[in-house]
Amino acid sequence: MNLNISLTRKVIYLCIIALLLIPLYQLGLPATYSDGQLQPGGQLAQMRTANNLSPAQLGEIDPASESMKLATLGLRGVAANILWTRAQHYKKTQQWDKFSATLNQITKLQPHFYKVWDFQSHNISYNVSVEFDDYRYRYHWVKKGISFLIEGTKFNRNEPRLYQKLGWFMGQKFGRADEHVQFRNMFKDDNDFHKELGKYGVATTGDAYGPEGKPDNWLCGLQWYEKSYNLVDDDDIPIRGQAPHLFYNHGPMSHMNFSTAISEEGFFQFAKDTGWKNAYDAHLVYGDIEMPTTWGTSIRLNNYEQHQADLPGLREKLEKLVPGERDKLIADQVSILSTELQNALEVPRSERAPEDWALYHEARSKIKVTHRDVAEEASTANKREALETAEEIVHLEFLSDIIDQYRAQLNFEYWRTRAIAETKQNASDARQRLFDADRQMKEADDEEARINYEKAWRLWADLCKEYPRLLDDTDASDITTSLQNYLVVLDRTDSELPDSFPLIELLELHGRDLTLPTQLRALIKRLVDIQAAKKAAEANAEPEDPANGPDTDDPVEGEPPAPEEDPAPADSTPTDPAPEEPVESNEAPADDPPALEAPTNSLPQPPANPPPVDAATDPQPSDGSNE
Amino acid sequence: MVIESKLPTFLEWLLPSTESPGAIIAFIVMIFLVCMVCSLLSYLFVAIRQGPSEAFYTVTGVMRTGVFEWLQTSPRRVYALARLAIQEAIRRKILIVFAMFIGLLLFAGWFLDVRSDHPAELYLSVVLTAANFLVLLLGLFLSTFSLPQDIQKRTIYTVVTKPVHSGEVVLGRILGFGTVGTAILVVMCLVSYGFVVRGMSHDHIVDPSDPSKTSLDSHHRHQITYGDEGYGETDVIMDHWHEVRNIGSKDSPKWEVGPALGAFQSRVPAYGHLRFLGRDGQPGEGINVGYEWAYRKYIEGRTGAAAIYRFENITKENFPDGLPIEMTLSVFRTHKGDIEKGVNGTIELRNPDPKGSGFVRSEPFVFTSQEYATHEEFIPRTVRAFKADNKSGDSVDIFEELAPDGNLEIWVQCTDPAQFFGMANADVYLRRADTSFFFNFVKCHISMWFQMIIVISFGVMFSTFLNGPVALLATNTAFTLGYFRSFIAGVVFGDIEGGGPIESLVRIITQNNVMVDLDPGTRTTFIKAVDYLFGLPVAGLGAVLPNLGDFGTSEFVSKGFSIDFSIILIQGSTAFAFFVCLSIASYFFLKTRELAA
Repeated sequence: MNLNISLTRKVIYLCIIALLLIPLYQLGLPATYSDGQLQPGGQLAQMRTANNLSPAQLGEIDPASESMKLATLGLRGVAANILWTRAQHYKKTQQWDKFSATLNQITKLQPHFYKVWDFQSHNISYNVSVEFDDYRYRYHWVKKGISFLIEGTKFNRNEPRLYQKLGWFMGQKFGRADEHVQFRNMFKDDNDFHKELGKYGVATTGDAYGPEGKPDNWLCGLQWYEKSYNLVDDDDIPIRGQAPHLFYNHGPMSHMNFSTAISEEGFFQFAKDTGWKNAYDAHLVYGDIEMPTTWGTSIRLNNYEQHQADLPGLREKLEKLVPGERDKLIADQVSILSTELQNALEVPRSERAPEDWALYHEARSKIKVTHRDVAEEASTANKREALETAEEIVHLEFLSDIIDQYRAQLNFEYWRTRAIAETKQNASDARQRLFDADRQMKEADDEEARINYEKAWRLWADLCKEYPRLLDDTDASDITTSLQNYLVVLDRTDSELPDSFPLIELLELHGRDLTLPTQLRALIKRLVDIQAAKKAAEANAEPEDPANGPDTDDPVEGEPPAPEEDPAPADSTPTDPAPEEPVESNEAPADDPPALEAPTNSLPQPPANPPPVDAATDPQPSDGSNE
Repeated sequence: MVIESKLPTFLEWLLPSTESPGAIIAFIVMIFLVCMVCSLLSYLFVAIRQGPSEAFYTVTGVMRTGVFEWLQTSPRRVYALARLAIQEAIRRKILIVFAMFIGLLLFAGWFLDVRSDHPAELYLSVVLTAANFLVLLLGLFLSTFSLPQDIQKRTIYTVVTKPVHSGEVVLGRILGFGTVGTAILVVMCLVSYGFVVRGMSHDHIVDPSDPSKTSLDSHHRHQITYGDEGYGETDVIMDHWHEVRNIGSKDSPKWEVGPALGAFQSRVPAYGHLRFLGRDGQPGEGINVGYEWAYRKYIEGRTGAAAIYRFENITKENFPDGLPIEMTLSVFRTHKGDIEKGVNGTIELRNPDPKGSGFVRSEPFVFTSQEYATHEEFIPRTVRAFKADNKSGDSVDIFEELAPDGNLEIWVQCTDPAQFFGMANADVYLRRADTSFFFNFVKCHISMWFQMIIVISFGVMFSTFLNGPVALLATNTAFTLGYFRSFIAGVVFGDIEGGGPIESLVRIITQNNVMVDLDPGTRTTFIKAVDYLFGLPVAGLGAVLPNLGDFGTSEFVSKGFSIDFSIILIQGSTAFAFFVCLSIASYFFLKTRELAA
C-alpha cells in the first residue's frame, strides 16, 4: 500500500515536472537558424530580439568574456561588485597597472553595460592621467582611456553615447587640458595611434587633417561625433541621456574649436579659408536640423530670424484688422486700476523712486492684453482673419521664445557671428598681429610688440563694430591673454593705456575675469568712467526726444514688464550695458512694441522636466583635472 | 610596497632577545600546549566511552607508547606508507590539477592586459597566484579525504593490522601527499617560468629610413639612442630595453635589435629608516597633501623640509663601487610650473656622527623627479664633502669620511618652490646587488611548498577524527581564521567599527550605520558582551593558526626584488613547527580513535 502511494506520488511529481517543462520551453527556447531561416525561439528570445538586447545585437561576443561569465557560476553581479570595489582600492592606492587590469576584468563580466565603459574611461583619461607628473605619461593614459572606450564600442555598437564620449575625449581632453599644446603636438605625430584609430575609419581621411597635413584631435573627435550622428539618423537609435540640441552641437563646435586652436598656433590663413568656413557651414546645417523639444513641438534653431522677420508684418496686419483696439483695451484695464497704481504708471522713468518702481511693476503685471483679446474686438467681417492672425502671432512668438532659450544654452548667436567674422580678412589680420605681438613680447621686442598690439586692437575694434556680438560673450575672452601681455608691454615701455583705447568696452565686459594688477584695474575703471562721462555729456548736449523719454517703460507702448531691471537708473556704469546697444534692442524680441503678452505668460510650461540641460553632463567620477 | 621595514635576520627571529622572546621559545611552548590540549581532548573522548579512570590509564598509556613509537619510527615503513599515499593520489586523478594549470596558462592571453605598462609584473603575479592557489587546493583535497575514506571503507585495517604505528600512518600520509604536491609544484614552476619568459620575448627591427626608433611590436616601440659607433640602446618601455648593434658596415649600417633586457630582475635592496624635517628644518612628520591614501608623506620644495633615510652597514664591502640609489618618489604640484620639465630635487649624503672625521655632508646631487618609475641615481665612492666650517669642500671617500662606522644618512629635498615630493620608507633604497631571477622564482615556489606542507598537515590532522567534507571545512576554516586574524581581533576588541556579529545584525535590522553608536543601556551592553565572549576564543584561535598570507612572496618576484634567505628560513622554520605540532596532534587523535574503536 505504502509502495503504491509512494509510486503514485512520484508519478504525479514527474507529470507536474513534465507539464512545467512546456511553458519553460515556450519561454526559454533560444533563437536558432534552420535552413538559413531565423527561428525566433521562445518568448524570452523574441523579447530580446524585439528590444535589441541579445548579445549578438549589442555588439561582438568575446569568448573570454563568455568564459568569465560562466566561470562565476551565476554570481556575475557579486564578482562585478567585488571588482569595482577592488578597482576603487587600486585607484586609491595608486596601483595603476592593477587598476587597469581590474577594469579589464570588469569589462569581461559586463561588456554590454554602457556605464562601465563610460565611467571607467573617464576615470582613466581624466582622473588617472592627471596623477602623473610627466605630461607624456598623461598623454599615454588619456590614450588608454580612449582605447578603452573604443573597445567598448565593439561590444556596444548601437550606443551613440560611447561615440560621443570618444569625440569629447579626443577633442576636449587633448585640446583643452593644461597640457593641450603638448597633447596636440603629440597627437599629430602619433602615427601608431593614428593607425589604431584608422581601423575605425578615424584619422585616415583628409577631413581629419589640419594645416600641417597631420590628423588633428578636434577633427578626429568630429569623426567620432559623426559616427554617433549616423547611428541616430540612419539606424534610428535613440539619443539617450542628452538633449538633441546639445547632442548635435558637438559637430559644429568641433569645427569651431579646431579653427580656434589652429589660429592660436599661427595658421591664420588656413583657419580663415578652411576652418571657420567649414565651421560656419556646419553650424548652418546644425541650425536646420529639426529637433524635438520638451514642449512637445519641434524647432529649427535657424528659424529664429525668420520668425522674427515675420512677426512685425503679422502684428501690423492684426493692427490693421483691428485698428486702435489694443490701445483701448489697455486703457480700459488701466482705468480699473487703483489710483495709486495709475499714478505709478504716469511717473516718468527717470523720476521713479524705489517704491514707485514696485507700484509700477504691480500695475504692469495687472495689464494683460493678448493678441486674441485684440482679435476678438474685430468686426464680424474681419474677425476670422484677425483670429487666425492672432493665432499665428502667438505660435511664432511661442516658437521664437523656445528657440531663443535653446540658442541661449548653446551660445548660438555668438558662435554663428564669430564663424562669420573670422572668415573676414580683418579678423585674420588682427589675429596675426596679436600672434606676432605676443611672440615679440616674449622676446622682449617691446616696441614692435606695442605697435602690433595697437594695430590689432584697431582691427578688432573695426570688426567688433561690424559684429558687436563678438564682444558680448565670455568666450570672447580668448584675446584677454594678449591684452594682459599688452599691458605688460605698456608697463615695460613706460606707456599708459591711451584714453582712446578702442576696446574699452571689451575691458569693461571682461576685465573682471582677468587677473590684472590692482593699478591696472583702477586704470581700466578710470577709462570706463571717462567714456561714460563723455557719453553722458553728449547725451545732455542733444535735445531730448520726447518719444524716447519715460515712455520707454510705459505699458501703453506695449513693452513687457521688466522686473529684473535695476531700479537705480542713476548708476553711471551699469553692470549690463548691452540693452542700450542699438543692435541688442533690435535683436531682443521682447522689446518690440506690441509684445504686451510677456513671453513668460504666453509660453506654456514644459510637460515634464525643464529642458534637459543637465542631461549633457552625466555624473562622472571625481575629476582631478583642471578642465 | 613589498617590504616596509627592515627584516630581522633568521637568528634575530629565532633566538630570544630584549625585544621578543624568540621563535624557539614560542615553538617549545606550542609543542607543550599541543600535547596538553590533545591529551585533554583524548581523555574526554575516551572518558565518554570507557569512564574517567580507564580513560586516564589509556591516555597516559598513549603518551608513554607515543614516546616509544616515536623512537621506533621506521623510515622504511613511512616510505612504504608514503608510496601508498602517492599511488592513491594518482588513482584519484590528482593530475587534473596540473591540467587545469596548463589550461589556465593557455587561455591566460584572453584575460591578461597585453598592453600593460608592466607586463612582466602582470604575467608573474598571475602565474604565481594561480600556481599557489592550485597547489593549496590540491593539498587540501588530498589530505582531508584520504584517511576518512580509508576508515569508511575499512581499508585502513589492511594497514593498522600490520606492525605500523599511528605516527607512521600520519607521517606516511603527509610525506606521500607532500611528494605528489612537490612534483606538481616543480613542473608548475618550470612551465610558468617558460610562460613568462616566452610572454616577454619579442623582436623589433629598425627601419633604415628612420633609425631613431624600433618597429611597433608587442604593442610598443622604443626610441633609440646611439652611442659609440655600432652600438645603441633603446629607452625603457614596459619595463625593458634592448641593445641595438650595427651588423652592417659603417657606410650602410644595418641595425639589429637584441632581446628584451631588464624585464626580469631580482634586486637586493638595503632599506633605511625614514624620518622627516618640516619646512622650518625641525623634526616633523611630512605633509598630507590631501590624498585619501596617506601612505606617502610630502615635503615642500625650497624650504627646510627634508626626508632623511638612515642606513646601516654602508661599507665598501657591500658597495664596492659607490652607492646605487633607487627612488620611487611621488610628485605633487601646487602650480603648473613648466609642464615640460619635471620637479627638481637634491640628494645629500650626511654623516650622522661627524665627530670622528669632521665631514658633515656631501655636495648635493641634483635630480629630476620621475613618477611611478624607479629613478636610479649612482653616487660614486669619491664625492666632494664639507666640514662644518669648510665652504670649499674636499674630495673624500664616502665610506671613510661620511660613513666611517657604516651609518649614513641620505637627505632628499625638493628644490622647486611650492612643489612637493612624497615618499614612504620603502621609496628610497640602496641596490646592494642583483641575484638570479630564476633562483628568485624558485624561492617563491619554495614558499608555496611550505604553505602546501602546512595545509597537508592540517588536513591530515583533521581527517584523523572527522569525515572528509567536515575535515575539508575545518581545514578551510582554520586558514580563514588565520588569514583574517587581525580583522577578527579588531572586531573583538572594538578597533573596527560595527561590532561583532550580533551587533552587526542589530545594526542591519535597526538601520544604524557603523559610525553611529548604539543607544547606551542594558541591551547594548548585553549585545557587546555576547559578541566579546564568543569572539574571544575565535580571536585566540586565529592568533595561533597560520596566516598563509605571511607566506606570500610572489610580490617580491613580480616587482623584481630578491627574496631574502632569512624570509625563506623563517617560513621554513614556521612550517616545520606546524608540521611537528600537527603530527603530534594527529598521532594523539588517531591513536585515541584506534583505542576507542
